[in-house]
Amino acid sequence: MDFTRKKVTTIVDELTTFFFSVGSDDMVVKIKKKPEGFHIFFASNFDTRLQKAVEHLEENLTKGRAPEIEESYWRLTGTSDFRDENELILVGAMIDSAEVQICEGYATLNLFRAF
Amino acid sequence: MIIERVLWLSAISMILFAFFFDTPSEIICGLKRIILHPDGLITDYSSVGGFGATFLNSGIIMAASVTIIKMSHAMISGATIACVFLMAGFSMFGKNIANIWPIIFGVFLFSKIQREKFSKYVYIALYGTALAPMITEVALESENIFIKIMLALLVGTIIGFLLPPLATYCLRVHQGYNLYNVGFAAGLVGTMIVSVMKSFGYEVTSSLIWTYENDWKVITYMYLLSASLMIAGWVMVDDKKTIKRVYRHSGRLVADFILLDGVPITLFNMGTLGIFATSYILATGGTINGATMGGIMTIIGFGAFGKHLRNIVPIVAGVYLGSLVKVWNINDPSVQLAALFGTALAPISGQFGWQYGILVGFLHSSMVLNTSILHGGLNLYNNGFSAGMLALIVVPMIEAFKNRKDQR
Repeated sequence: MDFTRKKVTTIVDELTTFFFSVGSDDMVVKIKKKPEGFHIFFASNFDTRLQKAVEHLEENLTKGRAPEIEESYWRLTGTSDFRDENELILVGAMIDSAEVQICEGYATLNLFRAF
Repeated sequence: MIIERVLWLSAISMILFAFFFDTPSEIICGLKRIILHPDGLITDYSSVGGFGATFLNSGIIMAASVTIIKMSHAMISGATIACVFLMAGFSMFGKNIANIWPIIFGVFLFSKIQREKFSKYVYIALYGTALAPMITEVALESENIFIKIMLALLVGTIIGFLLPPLATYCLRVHQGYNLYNVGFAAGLVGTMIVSVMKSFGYEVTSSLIWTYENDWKVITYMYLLSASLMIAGWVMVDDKKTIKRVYRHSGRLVADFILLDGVPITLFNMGTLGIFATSYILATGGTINGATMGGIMTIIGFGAFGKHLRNIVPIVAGVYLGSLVKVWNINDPSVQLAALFGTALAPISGQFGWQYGILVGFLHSSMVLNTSILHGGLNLYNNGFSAGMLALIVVPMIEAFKNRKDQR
């Protein structure tokens, strides 16, 4: 079952929920559909007191794509307020690569999801 | 690699342990009885075919599950451990080396028609064997071996086509607070199929085949397995203080402890859960038989995928408290299973607090006794079915009050 576009929107939903939970009030999202897949650019500020949670982002997003986890659980992404890093593990299972840069209360993410 | 070794060692240990109970010929006869016996809830294989055949059946299915997952090139993680241990557990009361294949074939066919890799659906295929008793049921309807196979494949294919889309959809309903999600989906599918079957004259018969006496060898095995996992985890972990890290998770799906905290902590957690669950059954006057071993094995497996002492103890306590005021006893067969499998709702206590865990444990023990009538006991994950419905009722209520201040 191919719900690629819907899955991309749930990834963005989950990231939005995460950054709200770390005090963000300014987010930018850009999605580019290319022949090889979707590029997702996400930038957000956050409360620096919660920097530790943001630092775990890259670790959790780069566990490697896992189609079997994605297919079984993707409809869970974005369904609840962020309270646990589990949700990011699920996002990590749905993307092929992630680059995270953190600088003075601002995080920029470059994610790629192949078709 | 370590995970695979743990899974293979567990499977081999079960196969070898079978020969501590019975002679090879007794085991073969027992296995034959298991295959030819209806498997609706509750059919304890240790009572049908003896512990030797039960352990062998479980070990073979555990090994087959690892092989299927490995061959599908799925990532080996906490989800794998949960799935494989669950398969081993339910192979002690409902799944056997004959009745699981049509459903796996059905999901395989579904993946081919969708033009997708089977690996995407491998867990749904394995979990989907919750409805394996339905395969036995239709296969036993005919004397002709050809008709038996065709009927089994037909029902397996129907189930295999219904489960994948439904299982993922069901997640939205309980939002990951029921760890046995496929049990919920299988309950719905089972209810639909049994309702149709009833319309054509099929009669639902409930069964209770249960071993009431404890066998020290079985108890020893459960403690040995759990202790081995604990010791392996303890030895491997560098900083012993990190063992407690796992308790910070709510356990809500997808809490893959292997990815979140690593193999050693996860193994230790699995071992502690095994010891707790076995001790609970013995302390409350229950029996460690095929069915309860199934529950304990499932808890051990989900020790890698959502369960830990902090989130399961309140659920079990809720079931126990229920026994003090309700009409049944804590060591009634269904209630022993309700305490073990009710831990599907562990994420609720992990997320919202122990008091909610006790509440859902209390409610679950009543609800689960009334849900098997819907699918005629042919969905082995009846507790998962009940837990899904309970989560659907309880979680929105809790969130409505808890989140009020977060809405801005």
